[in-house]
Amino acid sequence: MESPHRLPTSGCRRLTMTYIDLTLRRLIHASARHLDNRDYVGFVDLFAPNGEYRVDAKAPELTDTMTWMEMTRDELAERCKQLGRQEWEITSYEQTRLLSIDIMDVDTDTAHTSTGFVIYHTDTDGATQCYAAGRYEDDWHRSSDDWFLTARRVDLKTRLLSPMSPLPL
Amino acid sequence: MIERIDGQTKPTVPTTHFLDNRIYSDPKVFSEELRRIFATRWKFVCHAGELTAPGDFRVFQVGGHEIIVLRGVDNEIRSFYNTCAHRGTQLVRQPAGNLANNRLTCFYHLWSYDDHGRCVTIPEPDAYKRQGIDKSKVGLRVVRVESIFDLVFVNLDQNGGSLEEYLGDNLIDAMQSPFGATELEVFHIHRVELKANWKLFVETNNEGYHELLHTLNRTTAVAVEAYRKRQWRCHDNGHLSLDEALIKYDANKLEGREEHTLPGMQPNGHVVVNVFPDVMLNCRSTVVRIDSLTPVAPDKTVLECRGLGVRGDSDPVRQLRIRHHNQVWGPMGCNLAEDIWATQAQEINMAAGTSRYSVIAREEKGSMDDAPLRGFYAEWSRLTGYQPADVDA
Repeated sequence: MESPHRLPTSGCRRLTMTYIDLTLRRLIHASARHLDNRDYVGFVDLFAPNGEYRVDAKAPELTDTMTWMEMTRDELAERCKQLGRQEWEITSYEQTRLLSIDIMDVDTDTAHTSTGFVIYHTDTDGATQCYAAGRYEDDWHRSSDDWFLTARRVDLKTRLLSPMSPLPL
Repeated sequence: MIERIDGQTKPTVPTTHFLDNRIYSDPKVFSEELRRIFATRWKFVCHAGELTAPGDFRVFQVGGHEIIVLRGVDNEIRSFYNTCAHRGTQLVRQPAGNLANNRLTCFYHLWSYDDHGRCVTIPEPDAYKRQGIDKSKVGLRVVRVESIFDLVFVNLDQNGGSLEEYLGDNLIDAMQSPFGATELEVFHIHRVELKANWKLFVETNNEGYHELLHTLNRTTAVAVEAYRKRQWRCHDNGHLSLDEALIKYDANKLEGREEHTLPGMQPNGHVVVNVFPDVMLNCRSTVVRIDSLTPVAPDKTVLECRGLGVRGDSDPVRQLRIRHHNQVWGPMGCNLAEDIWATQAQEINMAAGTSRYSVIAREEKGSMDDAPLRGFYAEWSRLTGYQPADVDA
């Protein structure tokens, strides 16, 4: 059995795994770029039709983890559409996401990735501050050579969000 | 006759119908609010379900002081100032937890206290003998604590009336649905550091016409005639309640709330009860939100928001309530963020003195009236001694 800690020894498998690895990394970075650019259509397009988006956070006062947002792909699309009907304060900040993709488990047509993220905000005066930190826990599915998110669960460490945002993190 | 409304010219309406905006920024006013309101009124701190086991504790800021609220080994809830009787060190330095061995032990000199606030240990006590100090004479300062419908309140004033007297029969009746009708539990807590005076946020919970701000409420609530026509009720001691009305969730493509409604609530029903000075109890048929505020400075407030469901909910029903909570409330719902942006946008001008007067002159039967704001400020004035329309009067 091949060790998960080493690259596959067979050349063909190694190339395949490398290709999948690069593809998923590219998609994860694309998700960040879409969100930074407020291209929510592009972000939602990364999801499979049955895709789900969820944000969880843990407070010391409660035993159970809280769910702060849980939406289907379509609900997420509808929420993002509301951006055009409301001047939401979050849009006055430029966002920059930094990612650290450190876990990637691939099994033929499915994969799970885990990515640390930090979101920085730059205001109109040019001052930059850390806005939020956490992890993206992503489940992927391959359909006809294309990979789609079936679920993104945001494990949010930051519980004081300023400004608050109804939009995906 | 009205001459001009521009935020700087004193309005020529009755003094009950406008505000001197220095009430939001004057440090003396703020100091008197802490002393005369937050240190003398019953202050909501938590739901009893947040202290489930003996030894569970929470720490809160009340009237500028840190307060411990804990559940004793006898299952009673008690409260003390979070300060060691010896040299004033904080006894607990976490927002929540469970006391080791049911003791409050000061980490500095290891004096320790039981869950009644009695001193049980003074290390090396012989050194105090000459001065006659021993543990029998030492104890924590007790804070009054009472609960109603599992809502826990504290009062720094040792001499005031009971919580029930403070709330009054009419408000307690208004709270019956759902608080008195079923056992609730907290599934959500989050805080916001609001860059604004606490009263600016209270005002968003005390008037209905700011709902035009909310993308969700514009279509599901304000557009509904019956929603606009419902009445605010002003109760003794500055409390308020808003009659139940129905929300048209489908107008914003949201699922209705016809199933798993809380006892006493109609499907798609909505009620609000505001407990003076800072608490909002808000129920949207299947789920409850509780807001409470801690003033930190004239321009800074901590807002604490809770979401509640029914104790013993099955997983699917709890998930439904969480979903309903998050659609509207919570840090990633629509409405709460909008309220915060609005109040912070006011604060900038209040703090700078750019806006000197605010108008609270709406007179309209129904939820769009300013009567609840006028009622709030009447009580505020009674307690602080300040005139809301003229801080110098």
